[in-house]
Amino acid sequence: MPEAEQNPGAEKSKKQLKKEAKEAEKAQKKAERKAANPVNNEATTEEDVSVGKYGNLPMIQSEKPVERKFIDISALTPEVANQKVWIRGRLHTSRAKGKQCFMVIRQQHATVQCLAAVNENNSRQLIKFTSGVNKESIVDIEGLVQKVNQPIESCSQKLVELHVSQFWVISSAKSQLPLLIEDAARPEKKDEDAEGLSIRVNQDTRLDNRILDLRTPANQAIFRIEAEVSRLFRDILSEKGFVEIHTPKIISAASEGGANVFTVSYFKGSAYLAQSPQLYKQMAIAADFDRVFTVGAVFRAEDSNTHRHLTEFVGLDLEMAFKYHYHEVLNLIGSSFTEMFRQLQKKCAVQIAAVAEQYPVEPFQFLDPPLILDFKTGVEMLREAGVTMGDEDDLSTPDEKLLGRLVKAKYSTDFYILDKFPLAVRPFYTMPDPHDPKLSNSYDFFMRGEEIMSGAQRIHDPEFLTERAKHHGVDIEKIKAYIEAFKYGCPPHAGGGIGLERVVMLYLGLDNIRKTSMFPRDPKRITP
Amino acid sequence: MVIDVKQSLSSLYRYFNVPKEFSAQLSSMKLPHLNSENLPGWTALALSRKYAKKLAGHNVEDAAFVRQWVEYAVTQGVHADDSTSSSQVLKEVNKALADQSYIAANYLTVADLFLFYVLHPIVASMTFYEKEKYINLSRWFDHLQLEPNIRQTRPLVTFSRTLLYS
Repeated sequence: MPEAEQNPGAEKSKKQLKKEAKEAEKAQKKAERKAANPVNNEATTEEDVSVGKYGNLPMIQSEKPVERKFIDISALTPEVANQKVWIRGRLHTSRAKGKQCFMVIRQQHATVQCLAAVNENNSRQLIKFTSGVNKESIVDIEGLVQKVNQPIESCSQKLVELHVSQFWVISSAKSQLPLLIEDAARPEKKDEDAEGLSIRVNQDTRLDNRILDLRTPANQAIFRIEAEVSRLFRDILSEKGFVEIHTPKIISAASEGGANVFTVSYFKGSAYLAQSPQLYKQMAIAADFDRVFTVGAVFRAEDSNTHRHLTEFVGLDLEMAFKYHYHEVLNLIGSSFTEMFRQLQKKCAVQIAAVAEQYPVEPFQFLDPPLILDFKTGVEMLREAGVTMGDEDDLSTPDEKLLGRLVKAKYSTDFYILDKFPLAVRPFYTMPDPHDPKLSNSYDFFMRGEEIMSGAQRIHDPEFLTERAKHHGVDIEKIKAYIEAFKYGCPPHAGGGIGLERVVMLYLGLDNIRKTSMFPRDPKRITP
Repeated sequence: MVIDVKQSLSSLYRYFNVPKEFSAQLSSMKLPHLNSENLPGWTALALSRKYAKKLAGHNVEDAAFVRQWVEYAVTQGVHADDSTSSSQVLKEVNKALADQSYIAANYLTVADLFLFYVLHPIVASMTFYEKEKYINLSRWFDHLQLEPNIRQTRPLVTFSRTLLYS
């Protein structure tokens, strides 16, 4: 522009004048605003009576031991009213309203309402600080337990609230959470026209942020129940004279068939991850341990992306030598299961209720002594219901589910056993029935219409085993080590194995096995 | 996918014992002013009036309901095999049967027969869960299929008398 070039000085000063005018206007507006909001000023300049009672505690590096008694949030009841207590928990939610801040503090499954109000002991700065703390931060609170007039429905501790006097942040959480615990813990409504909030967290998001997802009350309860199942399995069997053994997971040959094993590089060669502890359980029996069980990881390289398959899961396996009939084993396993279900009902009632709040389902029903049906009877029930199947056909998954429903309607039990499966659908080491060559001494256990255990009497005679293997077209060279185990005398034995995750899933009536595996592994997921 | 209504018509011919020459004529008939999709419905109504007057409705009001349900079967019922609309159709029929033994009135009408033939392939392939979900539909269907004149050559669909899913 010719004018600018000719008179740059004049143009600039005009622009600069405009700029200065704008800045002056801004400064004036700021001053006006400050004057108009004296409260903010007060907050920062007024005396803070709560100094030394709140703040971010420096990272705890164990400088010196502090003698301080903490109370569990679940123990906050009217019995401890009017006492000053310390709690440590997570900031679940917080809501500030002028002179008050309402917070919900959570410790595993228990939640309690805390109130920080401005009074002679609490300053405005304390309230401002508490309302600015990020959700999920770990906080220490000292407060007075007070009874409430109306029960607080949204918290687990409904009859009391805490009046805050000290508030310290132990470990701060990032402000942007990938998922909110509230959303992850929201119960799934079965009715289609729910008017309430329907924000769900989908499974992949949960599994990607498993640490946050595991904090929900339902998940806390599920894994405590899983721990109890494992503990009961050990205790009940140990009492019946079983010895716990630990079998190797790195093996040289695929035990049950080459297709579904993971290969690992083993020094200069390769090895496989054990598909099941079958061979070693049987070797332990041949080694005179009589009754053994093992709890360990099982690796199955099946590319099944279903609701009930994982590539790695915890297997609870047992094997037992018997005197004359494999029903000695069958009855023992059946009674162990019913004992386990009964103990779970007794010891984990609180946890089962917590799970049912988010995933409502009918409680698990079972009979004592357990219901044992012949496979033939099962087929008859299915045929009556209109399913066409042959006598030697295996049950497909929908058939199993339907049979579960029919058994439940007829016998009122979610747990039952099918005995004497057709020989054609069982592995080569299953002992055939002595009277009917088409049947075998094998059994399946079912919970809520889904199979949890496949077991049988094993062939303990090496020659017969070789014959059956040939019949199934199994390469004898590959199973030479297996047959060797029976060459030096072996008692008749039977057993079976269950998946811990599957049992818990079916006991609680959950829809996906990933809910009962803490860090599940499937064909598409190997982290976290 | 749309259910072919011609099958239902031929079953109706059999039910009413329509002589073969006549049914052949009917199958190839084309009325110029009538929407060809609705023709099977009109044919069904006309057949019942000729061969079994009672099945067209005892009084004017019932006859109107019969006509409505035949029209429903021809226009909506044929879409019952389409996954998006099947639940809607089945729900509607199930609701209508909640307080009536038959679809259009308290007695058997040609609307029941027509709807039965149209819905037969769907109900035959339903799972037990679905049959229990549409329990009124199942009751009505089972009631009709047990009459051999109505069922004709079709296989019996099994229903469970015990409730399995509740």
